[in-house]
Amino acid sequence: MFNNPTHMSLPAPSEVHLWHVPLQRSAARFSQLLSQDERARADRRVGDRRDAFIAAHVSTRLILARYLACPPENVPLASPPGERPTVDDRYLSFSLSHTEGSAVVAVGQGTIGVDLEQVEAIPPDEVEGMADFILTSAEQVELRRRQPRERQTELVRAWSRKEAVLKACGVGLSQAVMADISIQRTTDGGHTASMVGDAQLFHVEDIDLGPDYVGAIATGRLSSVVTSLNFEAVAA
Amino acid sequence: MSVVSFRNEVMAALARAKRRNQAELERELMAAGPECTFDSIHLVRAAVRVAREHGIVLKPTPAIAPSFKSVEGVATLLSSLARGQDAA
Repeated sequence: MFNNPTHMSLPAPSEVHLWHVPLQRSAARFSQLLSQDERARADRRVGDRRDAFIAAHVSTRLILARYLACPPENVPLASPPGERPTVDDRYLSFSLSHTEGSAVVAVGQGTIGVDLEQVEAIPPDEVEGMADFILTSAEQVELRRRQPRERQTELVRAWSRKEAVLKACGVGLSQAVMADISIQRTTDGGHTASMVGDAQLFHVEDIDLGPDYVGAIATGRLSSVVTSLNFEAVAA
Repeated sequence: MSVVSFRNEVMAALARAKRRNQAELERELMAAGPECTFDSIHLVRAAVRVAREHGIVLKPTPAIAPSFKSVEGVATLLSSLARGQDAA
């Protein structure tokens, strides 16, 4: 039986709770908390990737259960293959992203997307080719103005911002083009994003998880406050 | 170059990008069915890398976006672009 007693109030409409979840292989023991669909999706992965999938999804259930005040196995999650997982709740929305060893879960109300990447996801010798594919023309010029040693991190950061926007829109890379998403810096140090041919603006904020990772949160509200929280409750 | 050949190259590039054994990656892909279990950043990296190696111009347009649903989609796209460039 899981001890998950802490109840969390729903974030205010202009607030996002960003949970950082260190992924522990031991969490794979708790796969019984997952739905049948989630377990089937986990079983389509092998080795560490299976364990990481289970750990990320178990942690997500434990986090959402705190807001919904229900057992984690009863969190009404839908997780269809190839689509973003969603929670069937009138107010609560969330977005999950995980990469090697780490996950982030953003919880809020309304449109929300989060992405986390390892900086090494794009090696230095592939920066130029990837930049042509990911960035707008203006963003490519800006990247070239940077010192060569900064370009790798900046490009992965750009990817992460755009991926967060796509997730907030509920679409994937097979439905949209990253180079059609324009990211602009705001005077307060944040960013806004817009897609070609779409009037919707997104607020984008970078996530700081140390030198090895970059990440971003995108919301449909232009003045979101992000509160960072650490999740370490996946233990027997 | 055939779709199968491009698929092999994309899988090899994916395995290198993810530091995984290609055969293991193939098994995972077979088990996954229609679901792409790879991080999208690695699939794009593999596509860009293979395109560059073959001198294929891979322009990011809405028309090619659906190809990024799967390894097969990317391989089919690269093969089609290569044929188009050869014909031109």
